[in-house]
Amino acid sequence: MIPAKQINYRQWHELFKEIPDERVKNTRYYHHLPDAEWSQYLFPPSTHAVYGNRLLRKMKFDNSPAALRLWGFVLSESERIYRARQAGMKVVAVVGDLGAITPLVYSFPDTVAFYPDCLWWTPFLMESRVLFNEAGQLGMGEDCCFVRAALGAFSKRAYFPKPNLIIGTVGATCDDMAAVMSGTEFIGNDVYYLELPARDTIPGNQQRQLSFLADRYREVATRLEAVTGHSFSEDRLHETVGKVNLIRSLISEVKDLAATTGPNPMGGMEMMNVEFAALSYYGDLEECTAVLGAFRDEMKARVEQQNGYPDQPLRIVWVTPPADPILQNYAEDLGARIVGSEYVINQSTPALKTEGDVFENLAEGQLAGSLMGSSRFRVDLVVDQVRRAKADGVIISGIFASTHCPYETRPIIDAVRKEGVPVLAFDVVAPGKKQLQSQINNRMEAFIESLRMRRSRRAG
Amino acid sequence: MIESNTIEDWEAAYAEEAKNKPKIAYLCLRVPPELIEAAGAIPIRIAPRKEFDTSINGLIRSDGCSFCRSVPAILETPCYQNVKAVIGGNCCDQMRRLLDTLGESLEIPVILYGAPRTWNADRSYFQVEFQQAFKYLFDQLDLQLDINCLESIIPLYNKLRNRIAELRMANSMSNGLLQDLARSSLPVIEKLKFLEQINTEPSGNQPIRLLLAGSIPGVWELAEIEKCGVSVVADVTCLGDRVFQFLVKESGNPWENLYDAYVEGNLCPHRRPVDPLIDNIKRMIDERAVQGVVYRSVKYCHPWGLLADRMKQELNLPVLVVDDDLTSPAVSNFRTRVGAFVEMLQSRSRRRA
Repeated sequence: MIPAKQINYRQWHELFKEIPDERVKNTRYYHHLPDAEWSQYLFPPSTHAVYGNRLLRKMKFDNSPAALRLWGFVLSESERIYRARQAGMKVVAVVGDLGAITPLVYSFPDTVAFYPDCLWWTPFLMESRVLFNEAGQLGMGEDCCFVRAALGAFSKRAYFPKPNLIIGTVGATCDDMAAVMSGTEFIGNDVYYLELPARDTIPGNQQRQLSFLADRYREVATRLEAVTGHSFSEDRLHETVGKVNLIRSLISEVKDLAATTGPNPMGGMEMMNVEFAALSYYGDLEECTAVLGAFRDEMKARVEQQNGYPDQPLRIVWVTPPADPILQNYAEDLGARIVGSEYVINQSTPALKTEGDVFENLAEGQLAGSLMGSSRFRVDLVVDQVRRAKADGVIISGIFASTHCPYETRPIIDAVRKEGVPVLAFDVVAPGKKQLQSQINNRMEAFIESLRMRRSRRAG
Repeated sequence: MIESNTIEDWEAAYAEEAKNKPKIAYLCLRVPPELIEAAGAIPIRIAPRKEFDTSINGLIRSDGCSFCRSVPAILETPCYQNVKAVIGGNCCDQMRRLLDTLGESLEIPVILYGAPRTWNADRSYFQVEFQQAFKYLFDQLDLQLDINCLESIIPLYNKLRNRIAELRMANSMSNGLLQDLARSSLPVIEKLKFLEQINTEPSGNQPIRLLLAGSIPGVWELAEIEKCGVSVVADVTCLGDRVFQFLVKESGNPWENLYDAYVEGNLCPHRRPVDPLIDNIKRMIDERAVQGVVYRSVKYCHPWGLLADRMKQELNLPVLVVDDDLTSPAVSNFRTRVGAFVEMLQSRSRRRA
């Protein structure tokens, strides 16, 4: 087995030459469509950098073909959705609920979903403020969190095809996304609004919330019937839920493997890409399962053979996904590894029930959401990760001007410190703000240094 | 013109009688004070007060909405002493989180109930949620809701609304008094008596008629606007005309009627789509012959702040958009910008004449 290590894009460019052509040719998405060269996606990061993702030139990647395949799959999502539209498939933009509704969307034939919310990391990956500037022109400046990039993308019409349906979740979700939806409507898109009830309200109303949400999903199914021209089928939803559960269990397994006590078997960014697969399966449910399966096998083999990155002994739980992916690389360079995470997508984590009412099962998954209830709920999720992963420290990469970070950060810090675990909290800064960025780097450096000293003190 | 400051005298005079009643603080336009009053308690709106100490805001980070950040400080002001509970309906995300934060930090019941952010989502769910929340609140405080009393209070509140609408349309009530009435914890009967005893001579016509829109106002903005020699004839902030705009149906089930008026009929900017709010503002602009709009949002208030650009395009009137922070108000900046805006409107008006 090749020793695990993190390499840069130039090294991957060289290493890629060793990958057999046959493998490149057969790594494709949309297998149900006739064989076509355009659906290949196994490329080195340098190719994606050439297409505009300039940050890749500065990042480090895992050196396994499984991780490369994952990166290729993630970075080809935009292109894939365009292809889907060209191939006559229906494209549904699902805004705001982050992972709860997509099983329903995928249960309709020839229908795929994507999350415009996830465009928030595009300005970082492209090292470009184009999307933020466009959102700013439409009245959404820095008072809004990075999801405003989604409004820029809707306006630019160059990041995804015009969706056949936009489902916008409002209610117990963030107001930034609600503002994006409103802006999207104003520039000429129809938004179908879905109401998400606040979870932790008066005691004893859980069953009513479940029924309420299940009814909303029934309405969504009716809307999807109209858009796709296919009838809703409970059997197809059952089948889709089975596939989704497989993906969720793979993610859970991979997260457990990342938290093992041996050397770090995988990079934090690759792990985050895996976790976010649970949202919309990057536009191809079947291929996503295959990608994650291969990734899990690679990690399992590495853990069994104690094959991991050297010099990353410090165990970190990362809270809130960093819009700027290079931050995790930076922590790893300093000697940390990410052994746990709470990326505000808890609703896409639990396995969905397969018995009983299909819509209530979806609703039950959604009601486990990170952000739709009290801060206490999310605090407990973080503390659970810290305990399970035996973390040395916690890093919270906050989102400036979001509607949840100002309220949750303090309680999370307090709870983690109560566990006796040091915590570093900062806000991710927008691309181009070099001085602020270097402050974050300094703080991370000092924090990780203090963790290292703490560890050596404890070891005597 | 009615003088707004006299309401404080009424409140002071009523304080002795109110001493033995529990106070329930509430957040925003989704809570019917009628219900609290009918349970024998004093409803007191959580809104900026003159005395609040802007330095007390440690619970919420500085990129949170500055009204939400101010609430812990507002609750420290004398009029909130001995508040027994806090209740609020789910409106914007930060308000929901604020109630959650208060629940963790205050040693009194803090109750949040679900309320729709779309239109016609499922009224049965939200109505039960609304009803159960108030029942839970009254149980917690050992209060008994008197339905007969509720049925008699609802028409009084309607009378108050009608009277206010009448005075506003006749240009006989200043915007300052309107906001004071919205903030006031006086029982409805006292508010009616107060309105009866005051001078209702219409004010002389001010040359410029403005609409005030945006986040909840602090305590000084209005005075600064009026100092520029203009009249704020319409106010769609949550301490303005919207507080008294919609009547509650008087026949039938009072719970349903209150729910309809306060929860379903709520026209706040956090609801999607936002068109009904914009249509309401346009209607007010026409009815009250508004010439310009001062659109003031507090920093990081997403529902209002991020709607400003759209409002500017939709309203087809000169709109001044100003950002403010309730915890460190930029009074001079505000004064300068409003002054310039009013001058622009005046010269526009002269040109047209």
